[in-house]
Amino acid sequence: MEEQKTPKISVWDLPDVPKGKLPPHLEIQRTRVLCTSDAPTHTENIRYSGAYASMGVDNSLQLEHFHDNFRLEVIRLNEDDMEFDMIGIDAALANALRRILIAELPTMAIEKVLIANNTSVIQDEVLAHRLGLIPLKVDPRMFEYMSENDVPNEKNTIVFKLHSRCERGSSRIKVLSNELQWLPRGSELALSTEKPAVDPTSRPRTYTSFNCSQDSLPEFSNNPIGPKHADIIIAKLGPGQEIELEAHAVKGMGKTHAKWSPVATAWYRMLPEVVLLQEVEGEKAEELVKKCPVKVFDIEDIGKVGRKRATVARPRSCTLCRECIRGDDWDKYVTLRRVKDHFICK
Amino acid sequence: MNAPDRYERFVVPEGVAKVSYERDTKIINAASFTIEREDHTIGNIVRMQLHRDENVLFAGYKLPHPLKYKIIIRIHTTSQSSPMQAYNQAINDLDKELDHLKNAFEAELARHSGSQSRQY
Repeated sequence: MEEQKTPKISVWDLPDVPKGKLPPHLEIQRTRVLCTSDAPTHTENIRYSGAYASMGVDNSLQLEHFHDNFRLEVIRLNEDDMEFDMIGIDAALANALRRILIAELPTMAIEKVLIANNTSVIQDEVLAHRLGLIPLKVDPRMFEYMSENDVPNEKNTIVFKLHSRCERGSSRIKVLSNELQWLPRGSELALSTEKPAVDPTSRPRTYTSFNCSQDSLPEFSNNPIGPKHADIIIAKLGPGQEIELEAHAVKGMGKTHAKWSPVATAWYRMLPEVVLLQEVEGEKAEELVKKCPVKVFDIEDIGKVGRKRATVARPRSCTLCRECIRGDDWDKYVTLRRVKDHFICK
Repeated sequence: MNAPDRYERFVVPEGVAKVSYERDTKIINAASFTIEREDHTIGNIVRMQLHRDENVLFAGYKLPHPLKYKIIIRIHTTSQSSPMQAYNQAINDLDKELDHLKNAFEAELARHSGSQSRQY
């Protein structure tokens, strides 16, 4: 039998393939991470500019394209935390921003601790370590970095003093962080190498040389420097024990030591997208709503018959636990995807 | 005990050039840039921006050793442009993108704190 010759049409002239853009299944592969029950697929970003060259689609990114597509929305902003969305940005930039937030922003933290008296059960070095981790409420932009050879002066050091004792016969006391007093005039401990001064009116040389009191600087005159939270327990003292020390705080970055990291943590995740492939009705809808622990699904009633249908109400709170695709057959109803260029940052 | 000092991660010592450049003898239009005292934070971003350039055939970065703080970026281009040009262009574009990001962020923050009456 003779085969019927069908006229050869190029794939691009077929009526349902959109020209100049990718066909929908490839567009999904390019912009979404598919999270199946075993592992996420299509996770890499197809950044290479010639990737879709054979289809005639230009994947390269120009600056104007970025300008047009980039959006930033702040969801929540308190004194202590913040959540915002970045849309249209690449994963490498979001990760770099996260790394920089954790490691490369400067803050002030206690670095040198001069201990005059410590008869508590906490060892000197453990006490110094704990003091270093206390967050201080001060703007690091007003200070400069101090290197090894610099003299500690009022532009690069903050001095705190802690003197606490527990009397004999009383019960144990806790040393809280609000007992750290700020000394705006600099250190009060005298350098021991100085010979006794001949002139009794001159001030003895101390560990820091402050030219003027930090109190007189306009930024600090009404808001004194202190620890951010007043209720951090530094040590516990039993009866008869005493701690007397002076702590110097300097400016540093998280890269050197984690005590200088300004954030408790910073993380980001991609926006989850939950898509129902088929209509889920009736009892299956009830089951689906019960399955999800964060209540992503919701029931809506359609028509007058009163049949229930499940809809996706809060896709943003999906934690990708994959409960909804566990079990037989649920794969056909629900797919989980993540939008590759929409990042929720906290 | 043998770990290097933490400030070595970002302090460039005297006499060491921050960026150095070596052309590849065997392949034309190919070069490696060695950047001292940097890590994935910069390397990944520059690599991503180089991928967006149409003239770049190959772009990659690596840290030869995690305790030696430097990165090597290798770039191959077509004959239309040179690795040096691609690298400069990538860094300038990144600069502009980050400026735009910063402006958008500050505008959004100002708008958000201006309308603090919204409850979340």
